[in-house]
Amino acid sequence: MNTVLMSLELVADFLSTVAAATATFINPVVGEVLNAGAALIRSGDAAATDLQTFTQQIRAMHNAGRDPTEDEWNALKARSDAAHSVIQNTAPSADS
Amino acid sequence: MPRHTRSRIFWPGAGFLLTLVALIVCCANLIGCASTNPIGAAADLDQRAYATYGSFVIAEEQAAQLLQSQNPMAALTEAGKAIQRADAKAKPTADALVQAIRDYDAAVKSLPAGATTSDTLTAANTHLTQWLATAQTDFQALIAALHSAP
Repeated sequence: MNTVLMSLELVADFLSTVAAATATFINPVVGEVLNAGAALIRSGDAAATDLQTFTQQIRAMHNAGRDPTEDEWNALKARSDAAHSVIQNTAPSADS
Repeated sequence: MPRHTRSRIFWPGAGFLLTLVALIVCCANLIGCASTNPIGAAADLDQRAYATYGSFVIAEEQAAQLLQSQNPMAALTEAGKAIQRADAKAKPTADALVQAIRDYDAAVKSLPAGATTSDTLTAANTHLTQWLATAQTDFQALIAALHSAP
């Protein structure tokens, strides 16, 4: 697991470096996306796995020539609502 | 070392390094974009909105897990507060993005037979594009707050 995390860290560092160069010389949007990917990877291998799975889902949609369904949108929104509730209801800060 | 000798070594060397960097950048665009870039995999506006929103949801879930892993008896850390603030700002934007894509899809479906555009569709397209731009900014801020957390 440590080897996997170290490898992911190397990938994240590499992506960040490349993101800066890409944003400057090739395409700012792609650079931003690479940077976002690097940042998410750094936040844990679970995020990297989720991102890979989600990317495969988008690619499958692309290949099938279809747009996301209402159910798929609702599923994502439900996940967002649940995560948002946890974040905002976490232990109160000292000045609240 | 004579100047002409230094020049003969320096410029080819610099050219080689620049070529190498260009190759790395090109390869990274292929590799980096391949597996963890849902927005890059999207083909049209609907897919791009979904990919953007989904990327935000993944970041939000990571933030939730991170905050849950902290000691519930301790006051929230500065990093935790930053994540809360970033999420509080990004969530309404994310919800607005969902509504914007629904309005856009409704405008597409309401097009008269044979028509490819309408004022309603143009307005919905503009609205959606604006929310996509705002979303990417707010979502990046959440990801940056996550990145800063220990």
